[in-house]
Amino acid sequence: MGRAQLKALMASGSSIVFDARARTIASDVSGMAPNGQNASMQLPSFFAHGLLKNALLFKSVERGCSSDPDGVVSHTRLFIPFDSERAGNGGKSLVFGPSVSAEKLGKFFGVENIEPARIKGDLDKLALLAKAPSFSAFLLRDAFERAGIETDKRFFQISDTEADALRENLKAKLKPLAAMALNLSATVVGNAQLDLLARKLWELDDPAFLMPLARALKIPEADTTSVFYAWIGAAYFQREFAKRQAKVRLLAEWLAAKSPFPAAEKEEIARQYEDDRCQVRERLRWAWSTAAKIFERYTVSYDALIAGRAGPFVEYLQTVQTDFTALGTRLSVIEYCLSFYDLTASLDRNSIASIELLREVARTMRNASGESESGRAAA
Amino acid sequence: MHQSNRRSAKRYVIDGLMVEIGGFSHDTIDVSRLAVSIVRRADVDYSRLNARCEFKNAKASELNRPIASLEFGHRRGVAVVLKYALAGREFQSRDWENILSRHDVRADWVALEDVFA
Repeated sequence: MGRAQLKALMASGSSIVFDARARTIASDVSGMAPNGQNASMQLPSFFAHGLLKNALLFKSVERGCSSDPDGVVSHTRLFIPFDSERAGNGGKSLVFGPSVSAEKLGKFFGVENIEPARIKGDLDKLALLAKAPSFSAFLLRDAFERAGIETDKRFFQISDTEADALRENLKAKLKPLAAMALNLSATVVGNAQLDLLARKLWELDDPAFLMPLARALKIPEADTTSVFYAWIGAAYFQREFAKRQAKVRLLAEWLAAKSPFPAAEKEEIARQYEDDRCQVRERLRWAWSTAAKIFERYTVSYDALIAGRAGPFVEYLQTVQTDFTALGTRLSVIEYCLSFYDLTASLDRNSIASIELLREVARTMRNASGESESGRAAA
Repeated sequence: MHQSNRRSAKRYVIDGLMVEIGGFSHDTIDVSRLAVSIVRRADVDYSRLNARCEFKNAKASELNRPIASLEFGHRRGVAVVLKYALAGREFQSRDWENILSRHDVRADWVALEDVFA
C-alpha cells in the first residue's frame, strides 16, 4: 500500500482501518460528550503490551485460497508506523490470522521471549480482529462483547444509543425464527414471549434452546452458533452496503467520466490513467454486483420464511457463513475505492496527487483480482 | 373474503406488535392486511371472540388500532390465525397496509441498484 493511499484510508475512518493507538479524540466521536459539549479526551492504547501501543490494523483484500466464490481472501494486517505522530509516512506490517502467536509477534518486532502472560490478552484481541470480516464499528463492538473481552468502547466510535438501536433492529429480524423455536421447544411453549426468545437467539449462549431449531433448519450441531451469527451479520451488512449506495454511485460516475487528458497529450500518462481507472471501476463493479446477488438470495429466503415456507431459508443457511465473509471482503474493496474518492473528489482530476492516488488504488485492486503488474505489462 | 386472498396477502413481521383480546395480550408472529397470526394462550377461547380487541404497539402509536371484527381462522402449531377487520376507513383504503409495511422488520432493507448502468 502506498503512502497516499494509507493517508486516504486513515482520513476516511473507514471500516477497513482500526486505529488502536493511544491518542486524543473529540468526545463527540465517542458519543460520550456531555450535553453536546465538544471536549477532547485521552484514549489509552487498545492493547496492553507496549509493543502494540502504536498499532493500526487494516483489512486487505488479495487473491488466494478461500471459500469465497471468486477466490478472494481478506487478510488482517498489523501496521506499526515508523513515526506514531505521522502514521501516513510508512511503517512495517505483518499479516496475521486468528491463530497469531507470541513467537510470531516477537519475530516481527525483533524481540525475544515475550512473556506469554503479558501478551495473552492482546493475542485474544488480535485473534478476534482477524476473525471479524470487517472493522465496522458495531460489528467489532458486538464481537468483543460476545467474546467477553473487556475493551474501551470508545475505540469503536459508535455511541451506546446507536449500538442499542442497531441491536434492537437486528434482534427484531429474528422474530420469525423465535416463532419457529416456540413451535419446536416443548420447554418454552406457553411461558415465553417472542421477544424473550428473539433475545435468546440474539445472545446465542443457550445451546439447549438452540439445538431443536438448529436441527429443524438442518444446521450441523458444531456450526449452530456461527451460522446464526453469520445470518445476523449479513443482516447488518445489508444496512452497511445500503448506506454507501449514494456514494458508490457518485464514484461510479466519476470513474466513467471522460479522461481529463487531451488526446495525444502525455500519451503514456493518459494510457496509464485509463488503465487504472478501468481497473478500479471493474473491481468496484464486481464487489457491488456480487454483494447485491448475495443480498438478493438472503432477502428472498427470508421473505419465504415469513410467508411460511422454510425450505429456501434452510437452503440459504448452508452458505450463510461463506456469504458473511464474502460480504466483508467486498465491503473492504468498496471502502478502499471510496477512501480514494473522498480525497480525490476535491482535487483536479488531472492533478498529480489524484493520478497517483488512483494508481495506488488500482495496484491494490490488481492484487485483489490476482492480476500482477508484470502480467499486465506483458499483456 | 376468500381464503386464497388471505393466504396470498403479504405478511409483515412487526417488532412489539401485540393483539389484545378481552384484556389478554398476545404476541403477533406475522400480520397481513387480512389476518394476524398470534401465539395462542391457554386461557382464551378463540372460537368465541366477542370481547373488545385491538392492535397495540408501545413503540409506534399509528399501530394502535381498534379491531372491529375478529374471527378464528385456523391453528398452526403454537399459533392461531385470526381473520380481522379494522374499524374505520383505513382497512378499505390500504393505508393500513402502508403502515404495516413501514414498520415491517425489512423496512430498512434497501435493494442495491446497478449504479454502473
